[in-house]
Amino acid sequence: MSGNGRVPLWGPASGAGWSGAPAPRVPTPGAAVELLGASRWYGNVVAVNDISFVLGGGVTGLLGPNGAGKSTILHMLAGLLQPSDGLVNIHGAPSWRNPTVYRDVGLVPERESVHSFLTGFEFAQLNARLQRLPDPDGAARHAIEMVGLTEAADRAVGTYSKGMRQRAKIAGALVHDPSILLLDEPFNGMDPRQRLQMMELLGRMAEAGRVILFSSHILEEVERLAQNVLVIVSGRLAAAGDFREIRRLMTDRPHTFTLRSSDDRRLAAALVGHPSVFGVQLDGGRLAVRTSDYAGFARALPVIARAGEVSIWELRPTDEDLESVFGYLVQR
Amino acid sequence: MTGAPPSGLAPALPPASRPTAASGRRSVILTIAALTARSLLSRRRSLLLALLATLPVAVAALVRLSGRAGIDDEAVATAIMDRLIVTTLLPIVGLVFGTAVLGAELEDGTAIFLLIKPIARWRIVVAKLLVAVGLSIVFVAPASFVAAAILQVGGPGWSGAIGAAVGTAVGATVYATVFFALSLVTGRALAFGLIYVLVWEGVLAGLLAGIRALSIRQYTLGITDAITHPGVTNPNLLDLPAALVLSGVSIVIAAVIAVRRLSSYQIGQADD
Amino acid sequence: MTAGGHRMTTGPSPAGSIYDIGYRRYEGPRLGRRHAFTTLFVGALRAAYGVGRPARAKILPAFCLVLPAIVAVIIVAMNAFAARFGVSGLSQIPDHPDMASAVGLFATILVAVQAPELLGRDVRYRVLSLYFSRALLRADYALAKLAGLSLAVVVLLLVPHAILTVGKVLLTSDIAGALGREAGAWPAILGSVVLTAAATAGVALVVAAYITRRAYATVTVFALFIVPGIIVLVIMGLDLGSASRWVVLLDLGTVLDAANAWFFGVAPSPPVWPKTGLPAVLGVITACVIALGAGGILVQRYRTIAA
Repeated sequence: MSGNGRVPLWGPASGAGWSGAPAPRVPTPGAAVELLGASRWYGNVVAVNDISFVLGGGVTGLLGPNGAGKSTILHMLAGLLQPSDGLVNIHGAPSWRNPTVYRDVGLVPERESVHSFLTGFEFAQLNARLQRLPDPDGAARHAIEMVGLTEAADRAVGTYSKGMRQRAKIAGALVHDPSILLLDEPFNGMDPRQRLQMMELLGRMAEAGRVILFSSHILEEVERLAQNVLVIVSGRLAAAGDFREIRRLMTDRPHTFTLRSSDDRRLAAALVGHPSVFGVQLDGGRLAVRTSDYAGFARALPVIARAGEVSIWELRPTDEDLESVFGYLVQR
Repeated sequence: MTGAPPSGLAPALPPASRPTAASGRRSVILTIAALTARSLLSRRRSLLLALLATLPVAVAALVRLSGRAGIDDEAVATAIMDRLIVTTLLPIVGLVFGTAVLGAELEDGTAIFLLIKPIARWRIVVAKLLVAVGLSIVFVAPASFVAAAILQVGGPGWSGAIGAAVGTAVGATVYATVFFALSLVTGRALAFGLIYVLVWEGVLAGLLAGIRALSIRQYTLGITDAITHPGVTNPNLLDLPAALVLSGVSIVIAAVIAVRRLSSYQIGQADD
Repeated sequence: MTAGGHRMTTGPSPAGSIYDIGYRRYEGPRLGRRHAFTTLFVGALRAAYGVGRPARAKILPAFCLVLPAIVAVIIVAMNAFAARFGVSGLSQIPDHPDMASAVGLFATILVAVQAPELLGRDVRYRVLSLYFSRALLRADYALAKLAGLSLAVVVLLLVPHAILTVGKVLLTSDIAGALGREAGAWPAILGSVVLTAAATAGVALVVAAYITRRAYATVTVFALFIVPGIIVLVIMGLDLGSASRWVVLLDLGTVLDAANAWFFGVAPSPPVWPKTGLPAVLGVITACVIALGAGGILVQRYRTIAA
């Protein structure tokens, strides 16, 4: 990455509001994208809870389980939702009720949102015209070329595959060369090849100096594409920063497995002796094992079982879903 | 993420130096209007409305061709001009186009790309209203004119046909604008629109004369009657100035509501 | 409990094999087609009144249910005033036979708005295949929806009759006699209401089955219930000869009015039907044909619809 004055990603606002007077909300100068104490609630349901961060370039992944509030954040940034509290700024100006920010912002919504009778080119051209570009045809052609849809440019969007429709939406979002690109679950429903193409495209655009923020609930997608990650759980910012660091924190946590075997008691006794295991519990016909070393345990278990002549009938991780990974992060 | 950017990739320009073309300030409204008209007319279902619109003309022609045995001329003309055109066709057309131009697009997500453009929201409202009103007039006023001309409403001469055309054109404008605003206020604009037409205008306005001032149907009838029978005042109908003023006020109020609603439009909670 | 304790220690077989990774068969009882039908039927009935949907989906059905009740209460009040002040011309007050024309509009609104809601959602969200891959037959799906919406209309139409019956019974000192008279009216009430409900719900669902876009389906139903009546009125006003009188059978409103008159043994409402000189029972027959025909078309549509 070339150093283009990237403002480092900031973590959550440091406990402002709970002790003493709330800290004054001062926007960061020069920030392309900034949330400052932003919250959004629907009636009694809080979708986004006091989130602050600053983005200044490169690809950032907005990671979180379904319903965590990722779309709410993107919609607030795109001026399609009013923050209930706090600031949501694009280049220092609030995005709510401020259509001028759309000169600098491109949004790729999650829903299918292109009239199916338009061709890919017509859709890009339409976006260019609505952006009042001086040469809408040229801009549209350029955008179509960038997403690799030139071959299919004159076919109706209704005949496109899901991946092509996604690329048509992206072409429409970047036809005016926005400095900020927001994408809501851009990889949903794509096959592996389309995913790869999309990742390359987003990577290229980031290299060209854009701020790219995309949401996903799939760890691997974020891992492959994003340098920075914002982890959202239940509307709160659970982790923020360099992806590798976050990833390390996620894997070096205790794992729990449940086992059923021909002789739980004997197996439990044998397992306690192994260094990777630091907790064993016998509970109603089930054996729960806690380990801090995932790989070591996986290698040791068959050996221990065979030595003790115990047949293992069932082995399952109890907390391998994304929610529990996030849950662990939130507890810390 | 290393290596030179591929060729053909424009470097991102800082926001300030981006070309902000003064050209096409006017054409944005036309661009939106053209797209909207295309999306409404390119489908089979507008054929259904066209069919409905030609029905009064066909029935009027049938009446004329049948030679008429000379009984209750007035009743037949009323059935066609009032019940078929003003009471049924007019609100249906206004309801369909008023709610389809933007309300339906917000619902299915196709309007989002419009909202995320550096365009003042009132321009979007104007563009959409142009289409809703224009199409409503096109689907009703000519049919109304021809049917009235065939039936010789208001005696020989063109006053009946002109009255019918002008009255329904104004009515179409008010209906389309009001239902357009309604579609931005509630997701169930169609249901409330139907209740307004069937219950408020259809039943209550017949029972309580005071409601006439709040009935688009009565504006239409008032204007039509005033042009058809100039100089004759019908005590059961609104007079021309009242009908015109009330129509104008309705249009302005509805348009203002629409702009306000769209300016603070918030996307539905389709979160994640 | 599955067997398979030895599986994990078995080496891989040379030719390849399917491993037992613990999926278990469901061996318990299955509720079957009848239960699926009932569930869908109850679901349709609930959906018609917005039960289990957000509050804004309940506004319109509630409106359609409450206004007829208010109409009935007003009629009871008129009866009360007539009895109190001894006003003559008691027969002017609407009674059971007039109820259909007084509240029929609300049945129209309910089916016009809710029929597309009942059928359109499953098509729009492409979940029809989920229904058809279960115990349910395609015809069951169509018939359950028809039965659900029909019952919803029956309820809507019966409520004002019930209020009127209760009111009339309570207004008199001769309760036993009034009960007897009212009980005598109920077979006609039930016949008329069930036939009306089946025909209107059937026609609305057929429209909704072919037009998936909600707005257009609603408007089409609305037009279908109103426009033919006007055309028939015009044509009957033209005196085109005796053959033209059969066009009345094309208007559901006129047909149902005649059927209603036949059930209650009164004359069909002027001006259209009396002018034709056709017997009122023809209204019953035509309404039955329309109801059955609509059901048949609906079933046929769902036999062939792409799921």
